Amino acid sequence: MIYVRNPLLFTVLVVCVLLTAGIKETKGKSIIAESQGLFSLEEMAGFDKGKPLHAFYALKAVGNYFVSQAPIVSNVSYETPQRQSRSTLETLGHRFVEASLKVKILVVILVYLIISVLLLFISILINRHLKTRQRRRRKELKDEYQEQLASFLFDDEIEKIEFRGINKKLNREIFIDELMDLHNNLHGEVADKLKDLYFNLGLHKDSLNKLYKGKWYQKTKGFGELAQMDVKDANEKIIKYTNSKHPVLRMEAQVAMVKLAEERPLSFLDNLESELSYWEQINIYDTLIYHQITIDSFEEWIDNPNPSVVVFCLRMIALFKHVHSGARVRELLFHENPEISLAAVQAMKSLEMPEYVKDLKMLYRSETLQLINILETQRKKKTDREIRSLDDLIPRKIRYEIVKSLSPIATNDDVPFLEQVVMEPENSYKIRILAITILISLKPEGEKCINDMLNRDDELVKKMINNVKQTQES
Amino acid sequence: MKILVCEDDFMMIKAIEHKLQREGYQVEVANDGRSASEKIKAEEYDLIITDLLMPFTGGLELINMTRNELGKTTPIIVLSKVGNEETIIEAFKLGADDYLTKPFSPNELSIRVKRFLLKR
Amino acid sequence: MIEFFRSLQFIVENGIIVITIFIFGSYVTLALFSALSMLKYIRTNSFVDYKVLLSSPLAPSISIIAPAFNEGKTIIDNIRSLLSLHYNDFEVIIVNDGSSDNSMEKIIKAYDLELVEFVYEEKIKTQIIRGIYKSRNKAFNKLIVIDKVNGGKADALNAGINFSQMDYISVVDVDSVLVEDALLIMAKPFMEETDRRIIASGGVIRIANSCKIEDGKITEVKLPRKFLPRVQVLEYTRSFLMGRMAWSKLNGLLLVSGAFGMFNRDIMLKVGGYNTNLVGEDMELIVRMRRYMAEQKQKYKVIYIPDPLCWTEVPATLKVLGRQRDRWTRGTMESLFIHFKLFFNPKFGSLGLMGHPYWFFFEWLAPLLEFVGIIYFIVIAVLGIPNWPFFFLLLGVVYFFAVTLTHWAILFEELSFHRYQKKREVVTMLFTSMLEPIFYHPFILIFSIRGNFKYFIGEKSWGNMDRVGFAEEEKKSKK
Repeated sequence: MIYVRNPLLFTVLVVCVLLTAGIKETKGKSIIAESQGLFSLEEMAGFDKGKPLHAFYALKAVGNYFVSQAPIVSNVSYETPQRQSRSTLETLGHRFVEASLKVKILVVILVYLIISVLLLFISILINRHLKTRQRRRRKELKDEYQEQLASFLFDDEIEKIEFRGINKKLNREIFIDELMDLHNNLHGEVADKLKDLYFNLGLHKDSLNKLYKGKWYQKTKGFGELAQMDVKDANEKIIKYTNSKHPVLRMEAQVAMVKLAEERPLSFLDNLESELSYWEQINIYDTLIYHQITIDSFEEWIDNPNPSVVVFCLRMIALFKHVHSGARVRELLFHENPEISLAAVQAMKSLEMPEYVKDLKMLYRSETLQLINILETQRKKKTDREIRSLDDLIPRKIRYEIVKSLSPIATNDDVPFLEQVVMEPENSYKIRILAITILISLKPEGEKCINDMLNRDDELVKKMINNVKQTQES
Repeated sequence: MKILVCEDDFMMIKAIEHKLQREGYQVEVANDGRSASEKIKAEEYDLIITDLLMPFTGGLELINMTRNELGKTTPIIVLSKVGNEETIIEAFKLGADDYLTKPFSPNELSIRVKRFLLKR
Repeated sequence: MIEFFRSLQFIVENGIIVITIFIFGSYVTLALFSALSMLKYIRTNSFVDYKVLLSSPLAPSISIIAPAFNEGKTIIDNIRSLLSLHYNDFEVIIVNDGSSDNSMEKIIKAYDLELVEFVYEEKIKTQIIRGIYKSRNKAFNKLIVIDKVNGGKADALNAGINFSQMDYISVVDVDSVLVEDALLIMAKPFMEETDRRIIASGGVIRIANSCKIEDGKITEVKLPRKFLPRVQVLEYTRSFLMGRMAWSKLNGLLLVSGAFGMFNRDIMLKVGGYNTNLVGEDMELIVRMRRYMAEQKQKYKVIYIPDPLCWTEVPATLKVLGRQRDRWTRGTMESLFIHFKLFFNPKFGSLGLMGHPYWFFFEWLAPLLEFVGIIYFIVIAVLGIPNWPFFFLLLGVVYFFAVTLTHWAILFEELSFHRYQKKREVVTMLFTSMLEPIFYHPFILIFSIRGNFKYFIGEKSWGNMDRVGFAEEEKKSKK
């Protein structure tokens, strides 16, 4: 499937081909005739004569053609013998000038292409040569800096180290990279030592410069460095990028602010206009964990008009197990936005609060009704794809998540509910197996229910039960 | 006391090496899973410090090999950036003795190392 | 009568000129788009710490599905290679598609497998599953082996899709060597999506012939020694770095290579998985997924990742290359004709107006046109006299355009991922690019025509792909 670039080019061979057929031009003149005025049509076998004897004329003409080759100045034009004394270059030039527009353009393109091939060839080689040298130098410098940094940190005897070439910007960049890399992996006394070094050498100025003057990919690097080194002065500068339209700038600024902000590290969530992508959420969470930043409550953004912010808060409530926000989460279970509703269920799963079992069951029932309606309409429409289970219809697996959230908090009172989930043939295998798993753990009612189900006729259910039991044993 | 450090990041190696050597331990380094497993098979170490993400054999497989295939009781400390619950549990289940996440403090590492080596 | 021919000639000639300008123009445009797209990608991702995904509880789950048929020679290493990928929540599903060799015994022994009972809905119909295996050894707990009756690659993939319960599915050729961070790098774009849902992403396929591979990892990248694979390096570079990147940006990508791709599992299931009646199942699935999203009026994207993540072996003999290429031709034709409704259909957005027509004209029709042109030329040569100087002029233009384009591609590669480290290799590539139009292209044309022929007579086979296997390649290189 990927070979095609070349053939496409060679389709242009077709061009050649068909254009050369244009010798038999409608005006009755050959292209060569046009360009050189030397051959006449009678010399060539004419396509328009339409006689099979053509082939012979053709061959004769071919013969003539090749005989008269030499300087392409045909011996037809006996009247101007002095032409043959002109230099080839002049002849070519003359021919070019007299050529048709088509030919002129093509010659120009050809020359251009040949030149570009040569130029590319040379520039690729030069580039390679220069790059290799550059890379080697950088590697040497990088290794050297690494060694020096390691000694600086761990050899007490060495008081001051001269870092070679550090006054040059490019070298400083390499140095900063190594310093950042090391600092990223360490904390404690050694990390502080690195930070001091960073400031003493004035490297914070480089980072700030990236912020002020750089292009977007340089700015983001600046954010990272400033955040890593805790340069609080940069706060005001960075904060305005947290709402930028540019996704990378935005995310890096947000992550930097989380680390740098004195109070309310997540303040950028207040007015966030763009959607908080999953990647951004992952990074923000990672930063909170990595730098051990505590957020007391995410509730202040739970009413945020931006749905992705609400979803993010719910996920954070789940991960940090903010049980005190349980009531707010409960409210959101019935939110009209399906993503928010799903996130709320998943938060409940994490919070494990038995007081909300009823709400979860209620949500399950309403979702099931909704799905049944959709299923009915779909079936009436007779779509060609067979719909085997309710959960096929809507990608969000909310009903599965609801049952999952019941798993840690279910009690014997919930056995009838779970039984229904298992026995409903239109439920997906996944959800039914999950319900079975929960039932098995509920003693004594759950176990009794399982035994009842084993005695019924439903082979599939029996198979599922046995499978769950087998998995639990291993 | 001979310690094996299995780590592919140069700076990490330097950091750990320097610290431990200053404490008086003999430190050997393996840059990837393959050389690490060869070294473990060939020699006896008093302690192994390993990262999880290395070229060729990963840290978890290394732990499994040391504990379950070779049956060695060498204390193993995991030092990794990966810090999620499942991996930590997995590492302990396979036989690791301790688990440190990066960023780490070399001082802390050194104390833990001392603890394990004292027991021997 | 004569007038008729003359006017026909006129139309055809000038039509051809227009198409040519269009073709040249499109190449240049695509190259430009690709350059921009790649630049943005590199700038965005050069400092990204993918390891964030490694330890995040929010990271998505991935199933890698690798169908295996008679890969006995190398299957153990291949599995090991896949298991060592850096990712947290993933599983490796090897689907043994009724191999007739001893693959299953080897795997069971090497990975200490036992038969396990799984109860799950088989949402897509496949051939019978004989058994599902997991390892007793905890170190291999990410491995699942599905043993089934032979049904072809598409069928095997469908079996894997059925089994998987994860968010994303990564389809791999079992003998592809993936870079350690491949899953991390592939997963990230899916996480970044906001208004447009990413349904599939394709990775660049790099050529592993002559590369040094140890323990399932590429330890040294080398330019292939033989001419045929080397030329394919150029081909792939052009196609991936200058073609697909552009199409990714334009959202007109019709193909995610079966050697490595990642898909949204829900959509895959919604469209019913792979079509088992085709030879080009990978392309057709993408077209069908895109069509589905367009019909559902949902915004979506199919993207491309230029990072070299997947290394695989390409045919080194004309015979095997021929089989591969005519199969690709047949695959393209299948997808284009089955979904002919998309052709210039505005209802399907960029897919209908750009993607499908482009593939129709430029990928399918172009070789045919060329073939017709050559026949025509022979006819002219016999009946009339071709205008030789003009002919050579045009030939020169075409040849140098091809070489220029390839040189640009080599430059792109140099400036971006520069995987070929030795200077000698770059020079070799440059010289090979000059030989390609003469010694390689004609064969590709022949294979394409043959593919067309086979399609029309209804042949469906894959042909034996004669894998050398990496271990063998290593032995050869040591000689």
